[in-house]
Amino acid sequence: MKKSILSTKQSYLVCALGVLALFLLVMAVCETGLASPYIKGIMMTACIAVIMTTSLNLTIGVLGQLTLGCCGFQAIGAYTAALLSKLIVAQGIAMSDMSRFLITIVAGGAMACIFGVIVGVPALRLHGDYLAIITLGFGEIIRVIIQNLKFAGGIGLSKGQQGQALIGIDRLANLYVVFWITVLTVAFLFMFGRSRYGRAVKAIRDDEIAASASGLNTTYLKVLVFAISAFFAGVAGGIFAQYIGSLNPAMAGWLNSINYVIMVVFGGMGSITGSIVSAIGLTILPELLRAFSDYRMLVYSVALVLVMIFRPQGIFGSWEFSLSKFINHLFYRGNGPKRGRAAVAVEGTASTDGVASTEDNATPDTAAGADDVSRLQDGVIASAGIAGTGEGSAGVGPDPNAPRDGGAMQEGDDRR
Amino acid sequence: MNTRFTAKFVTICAATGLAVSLAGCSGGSLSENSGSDSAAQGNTITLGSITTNSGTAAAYGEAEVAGFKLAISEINKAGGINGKKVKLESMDDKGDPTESSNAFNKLSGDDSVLAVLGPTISATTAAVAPLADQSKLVAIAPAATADSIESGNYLFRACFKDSYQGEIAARFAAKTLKVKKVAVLYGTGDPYSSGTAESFMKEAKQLGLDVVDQESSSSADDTEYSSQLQKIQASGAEFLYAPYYYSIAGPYIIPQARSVGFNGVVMGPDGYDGLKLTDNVSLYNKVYYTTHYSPDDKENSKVADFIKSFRSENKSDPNTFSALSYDTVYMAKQAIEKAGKNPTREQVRKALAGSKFDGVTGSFTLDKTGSPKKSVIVLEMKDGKPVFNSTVKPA
Repeated sequence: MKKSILSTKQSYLVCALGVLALFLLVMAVCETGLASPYIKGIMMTACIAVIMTTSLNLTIGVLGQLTLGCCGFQAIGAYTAALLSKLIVAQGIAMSDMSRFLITIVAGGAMACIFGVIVGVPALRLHGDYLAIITLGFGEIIRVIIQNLKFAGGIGLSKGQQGQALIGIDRLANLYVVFWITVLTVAFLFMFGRSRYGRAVKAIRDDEIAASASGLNTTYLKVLVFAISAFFAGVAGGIFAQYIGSLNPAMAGWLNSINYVIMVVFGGMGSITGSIVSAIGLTILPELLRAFSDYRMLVYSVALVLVMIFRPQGIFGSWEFSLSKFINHLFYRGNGPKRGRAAVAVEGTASTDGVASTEDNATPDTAAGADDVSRLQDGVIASAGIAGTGEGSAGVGPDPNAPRDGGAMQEGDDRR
Repeated sequence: MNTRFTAKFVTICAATGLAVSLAGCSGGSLSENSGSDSAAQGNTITLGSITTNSGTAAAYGEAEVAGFKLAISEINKAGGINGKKVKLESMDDKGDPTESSNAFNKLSGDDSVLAVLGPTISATTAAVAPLADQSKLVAIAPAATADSIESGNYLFRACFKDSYQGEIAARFAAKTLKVKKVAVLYGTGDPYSSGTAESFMKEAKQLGLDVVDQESSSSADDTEYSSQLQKIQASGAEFLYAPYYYSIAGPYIIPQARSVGFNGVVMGPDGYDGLKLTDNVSLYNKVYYTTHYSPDDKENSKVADFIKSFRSENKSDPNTFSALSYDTVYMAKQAIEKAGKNPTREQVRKALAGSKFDGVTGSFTLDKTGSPKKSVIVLEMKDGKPVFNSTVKPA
């Protein structure tokens, strides 16, 4: 069954190199002045969208729960980061801009995470439409609360005026740093999905009763996923605040949240590749459509409708791009010609546009570590594996080697 | 097997399509840029505009674009600016701060753009302000009225800021109505309401008016004001400044004030536009409010011409947003002409800062924060209809 010409370690290395090459490309484009502030701004926005979408994908795609409150968490992160940044300056604490940026976004993420737990514990007792409505309401609550906080308006802290946009936030976000934060986020989320926690979460998605009967603590896992998702939404908010320089409570509204849900569904629920590509694509698309001026949002909507009609599972369904697999295909073409072509198509997209390639290749970094697994079957096998080995104990899953076997087994099936 | 193949085929097509469209479009915008670079030396001046043409505030943005287009076609018919034709590069921001920043970055990357008109709403304007400073390109917002957006050196506006109306109301009370005892009622939870009330009281004290009572409600959405109004009535005030929105002032504050026996003047800010009335329209006599623009403004000769040309171009009547955006274009024109033959962006800013301007929405001087000190129109309710009363000149 051993097909890969690369060992796991080698494939990690290949991916690390891939990401590094990409970073150098971005750097080259920025440093030589090839990228205008406009392009850099779009790259930054795309990075923020990627963090938001991949983290939301964890809840929607991997856990299988529809939430509409992600922008509530983003707003909490954004306001926390912005106010903390102002506080640090006001207190005269000496630190470099970079450490201030990193500290504030982590604080933003942590605050969002706390709220994620607070909201998650009661909300995740429900699912489906009910959960969607609860999270939608949560976003609105956040919006109204921020609107009524005096220190979150005007120029912030005690001098604020409630209901006003928070302005004058130091714009510390640097594209290179944000790039690496995005890479780390995607890597973490990918590895989480492949870990035993991730497999347990997929088991819950596929059959909650079976998963719970096999000894999984479903409430704990659901809240965990919700909190992780909220953390990264908060981080994205912190970056957003320090990129855009002003905040408005309206950012927590449900329309913005739905925008990110669209990105997840568009790319394919459960596919990190899909989330990245659609986050970048749907960030760039409205900008490209500026040529249509008045009909811009119409064309955008038509594009969404067409994809949903012809590709209801999203662009990538549950498929993941993997750089090491791609290399494999280059050497053993006979193995899976159709897969190879799909990979080439993705690569093609990546290389035509600097922005797109930025993130496209971020996936291989994370995708590299594992052999290919078709997601749906993976989930089934994961739950089967858990059901088999997790007997009675509160343990979350089987030993770490099990999935590899599961993956290989499934891979075998897949190829026939 | 077959369905799998189809699915993959569609994916490949989608990916290829995306790739082609990305390549095509990025190429297109590049050539567009190089084209406009040469235009900077040529015979065109580009004015960029960022407006909200889709989303909830789309009506405002559309009205603004109509105003821009009218002004620019007039300027071009009259020979352009410094003999150069003017081109409008119009961008939509969906009312989203991220989109407005992207649009501004795009405009600032085009060297032929000398000024940006917009954005439409205060939230997007707040996002553009730091970018304007960074790229040293002026942005003139036609109708973003929030006080908080006054930051940086490159953001200007054609409309007065919210709290400025408080000052004007105090001047109107002292100079035109010649009252002595005034009272204030405002909502503490709303920056628009509390901000205008604050500036009213400050100016009233300076003008020697006696502020006999100040009452407040916890929010600007309350519906019951009788107890506050009774105190105001008992204080002997002849004039009440009540900065609320049309949906509260109309059905609640004014009828309740009349029912406690208050027969003095009630005045409000532009939130009174479209005041919701109860059946008894006589209650609304002696109600005044300040606004940006009135089609009945007889004191300003430019208004009639503006309405006439707007009607012939758009087959509809202009609203406040169109009037303000029409003025915005002429502000930019005046600044560019003053800056010289081939001005830089920095020279345009210098020419605009502190400049005087006469337009459809009044004559004004830009203060050091970029907001105008301008003449404000006062409308009076007569039998349930707003009627032009007078223009209050700035101090």
